[in-house]
Amino acid sequence: MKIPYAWIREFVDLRLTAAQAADRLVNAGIEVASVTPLAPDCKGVVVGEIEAIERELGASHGHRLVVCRVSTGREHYSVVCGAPNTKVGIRAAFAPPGAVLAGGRRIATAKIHGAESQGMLCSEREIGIGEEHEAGILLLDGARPGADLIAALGLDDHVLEVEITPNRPDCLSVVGIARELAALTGARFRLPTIALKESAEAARTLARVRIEAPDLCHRFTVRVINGVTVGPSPGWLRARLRAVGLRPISNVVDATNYVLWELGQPLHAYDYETVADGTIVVRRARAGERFTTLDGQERALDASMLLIADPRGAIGLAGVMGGANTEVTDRTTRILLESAWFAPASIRRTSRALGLRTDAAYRFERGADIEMLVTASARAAALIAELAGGAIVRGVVDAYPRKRKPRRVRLRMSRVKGVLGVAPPLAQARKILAGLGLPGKARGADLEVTVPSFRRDLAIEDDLVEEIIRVWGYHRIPSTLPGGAIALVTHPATMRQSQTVRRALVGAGLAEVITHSFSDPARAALLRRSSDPAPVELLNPLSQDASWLRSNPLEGVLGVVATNVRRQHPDVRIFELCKTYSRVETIGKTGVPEPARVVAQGKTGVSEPARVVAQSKTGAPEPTRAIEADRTGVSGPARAFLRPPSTEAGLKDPATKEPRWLAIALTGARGEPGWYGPNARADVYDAKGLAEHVLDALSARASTGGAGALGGFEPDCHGTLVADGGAILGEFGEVAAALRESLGIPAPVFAAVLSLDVVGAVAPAPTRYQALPRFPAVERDLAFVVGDGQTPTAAQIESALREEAGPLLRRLVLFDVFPFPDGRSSLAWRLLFQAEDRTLTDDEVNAIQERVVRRITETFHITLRSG
Amino acid sequence: MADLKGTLELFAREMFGPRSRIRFRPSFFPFTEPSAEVDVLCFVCHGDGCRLCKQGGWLEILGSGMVHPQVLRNVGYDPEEVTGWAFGMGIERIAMLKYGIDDLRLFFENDLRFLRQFA
Repeated sequence: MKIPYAWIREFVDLRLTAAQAADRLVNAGIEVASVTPLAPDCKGVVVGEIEAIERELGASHGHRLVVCRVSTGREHYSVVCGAPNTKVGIRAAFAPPGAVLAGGRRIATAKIHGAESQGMLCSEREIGIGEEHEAGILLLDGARPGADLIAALGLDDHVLEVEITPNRPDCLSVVGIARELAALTGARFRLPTIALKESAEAARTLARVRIEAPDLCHRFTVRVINGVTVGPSPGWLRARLRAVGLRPISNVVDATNYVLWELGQPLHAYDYETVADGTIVVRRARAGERFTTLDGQERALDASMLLIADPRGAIGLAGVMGGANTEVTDRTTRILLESAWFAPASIRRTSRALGLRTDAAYRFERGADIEMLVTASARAAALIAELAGGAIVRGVVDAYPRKRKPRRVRLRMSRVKGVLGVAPPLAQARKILAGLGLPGKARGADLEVTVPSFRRDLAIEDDLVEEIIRVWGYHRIPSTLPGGAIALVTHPATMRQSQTVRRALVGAGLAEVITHSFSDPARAALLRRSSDPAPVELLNPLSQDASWLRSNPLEGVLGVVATNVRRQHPDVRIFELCKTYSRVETIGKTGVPEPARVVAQGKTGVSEPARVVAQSKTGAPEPTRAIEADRTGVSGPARAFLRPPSTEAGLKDPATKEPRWLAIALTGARGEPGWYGPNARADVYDAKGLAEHVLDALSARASTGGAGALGGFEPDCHGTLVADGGAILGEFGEVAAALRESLGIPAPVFAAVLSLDVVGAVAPAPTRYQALPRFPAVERDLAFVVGDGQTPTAAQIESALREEAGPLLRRLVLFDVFPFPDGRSSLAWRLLFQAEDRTLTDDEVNAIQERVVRRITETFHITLRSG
Repeated sequence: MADLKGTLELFAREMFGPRSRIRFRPSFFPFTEPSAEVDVLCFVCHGDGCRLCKQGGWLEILGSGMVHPQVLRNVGYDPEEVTGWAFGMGIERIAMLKYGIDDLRLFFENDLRFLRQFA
């Protein structure tokens, strides 16, 4: 909202510049977006009086050209002018030679139509202060010839553009800002003086008000002004309206807009003759009722909208816009002036429903001052009488069915200290509040504060605390660090897990990516399996391709791979910590991992007694004592008043699941290019290896299993990582070629996922020291040929091998995989045997080896490789 | 609120360096009372005025305030027994200010040439 500083100064005596005033406002919470000079950048333009028309020059371009003698008091000029409103005796804007108009146009003596013109009589547009040009030169009745134009028009000023937060509707006016500045500086504040001359006739004989919807209209007042002449407003009023961004329309309408800006009260003027019986009815619209607002648009109304009507029908959209049928025109001679209060919610709804955002609706939506509207009515009536002539009919018709109840709030100074950490003395707090228009009575150590009608935002004690500190100054708040009982809260297990994962993978050379949780249904469909639970769809998506929540952990990383490949970066090694979302359905057979078990997440607290230094209210430290931490992880005194919020179950939607995942995606080279060796391509074992590396970091052990249930992998290159108890910790494989090709990725992509909640729930492998062996070990190599019809997995062979070999087998490593040309392969293991208490003999080891070979060859029907 | 101020000053020093200073300004949020907006002294010009801080010398970084008593009540705390404070910032915005990143979308495109710059 734009406000000229000079206008503010009509109501408060300030010794500040506009910039300084702006600064004070900003430091008290009223945002000032800009302080701009009002004057256009013209220089030397003055008020000139046309003393005589010296001669006619004939017509040019349809204009009558004359030579005038223009006086600026001290000097006289011969000026050629073609404006239609050129007349002897008028005072107008005059640019003598040497003056500069806005835009840099320099005025000099010129020859026009054969005659010398010393300077130029100017229109608004030529000077640069408005659009008016066709009507002629800018007239300045009553201004002193020679006076600087900028000063004469009140343009030697600055405009503050204030941005008012929703809680301060009282600042949506010049007096509101003036009142604020008065409170902040201690200067004297006054409301506009209203010189009201009323006639003998009583308003209540001419107008009546009937409020049929008192819940939506708590107060409605009406004044009558007889005998007005509607015409253009004087220059000063037009200039002021333009300075704030309003368009001058007519003296009557401009007066109501002026008071809207000045006092913050929206008013409306009706042509009295068009209102049937001079009777105003405030009622709800009927369903389907149609009405034409004064912008010429016909609107369909519904029964929730509040109307101003007369006994015949609608005449205005309450609080939003007047009607075309009762508009003030240049034929109007009698005014019905409305000043009322409407319920904010209703005005807001109507304004939104019809798409009609007006200055009036803006203020009513936020809450107008129900006690100011009578003053505003008087102010506007006096202004109308001054500008348009006419007699103000005596009195105001005031229908006030829902009287405002006085509001008092008790403010404890102890509360001020408690919330802020500091407090002024009570007397000073009282003075600050009084300066804001909030008188208070001392009641012991408290203040009983009366809240006026224009501060709808002040309802509770803490609101007054804020008022005190923002005026007293936020710089007075000291800077301390919180003290008191400190609970030894550790990070939640999920956070520690995430940090471990990040460290492990960034350390392995991957980059972490973050993608949106929304997914494109078309893309998600490519990853869905028929057994997957239903996806979660958004009710109000930003766009169609972000209308589901992610349901497969690969979605994000695959998108990132595609982006980078498209930007000619074919080597991508990334990971993401993400969640997927699904509706609760029976899981069971598909083996999709269970979501977070609340028990696992609940273990956030310290499990052993915590030692806490407690500080009592006196500030003296109390003796330390060991305090048991409860399940929430908060210990001791803190526990007394901290209640866990309405249970986790209450906060989470039981109908959806949000499991946490780690997703890894690799494509292209296995590592950074360099001189030290050929750069191999990443393959599925890299993905698997990275997943195992993470499990290692999380102290989880897993063996390899067959294909899992997650969609997106090639069927013949898909495995799972399985915990000892059978829980599926993760999956890995090659991304389905059709899928990645549809994403624009030409090269193979390998991926792995870990279900972090499942991993977190699995008990970590315990770390226990094992004594170092003291006796030598024996190494044996065994190779088996697979692919001869039988294809056990390496994991299966290993499992059987370990079982058969027994505890003397200390290490087992698959050290070679050799493919034969005929499609079979040889898998070679290195076995390390060692006993704790003796040196193993060859015989012992041979015996074990024979048993193992027999077991493997018989169980899996494969042969031992020879040679 | 003194604790909030002290904590935010600590944050500013950790995030923007030991010469950093913050400014506490009244503001409005529906869920805090009193509310405050926090500016940090522009770390490019240190308050002299430059293009980054649009000549103002300060950079707006976060909103904060004492938790409104009704909010505390809504989740089961008694505002007579506890007070609380909160602050929030757009971490992408802070990163953009600190590192001179000019487009918010870069954070979600995950172009490796962008990610690698912050290893």
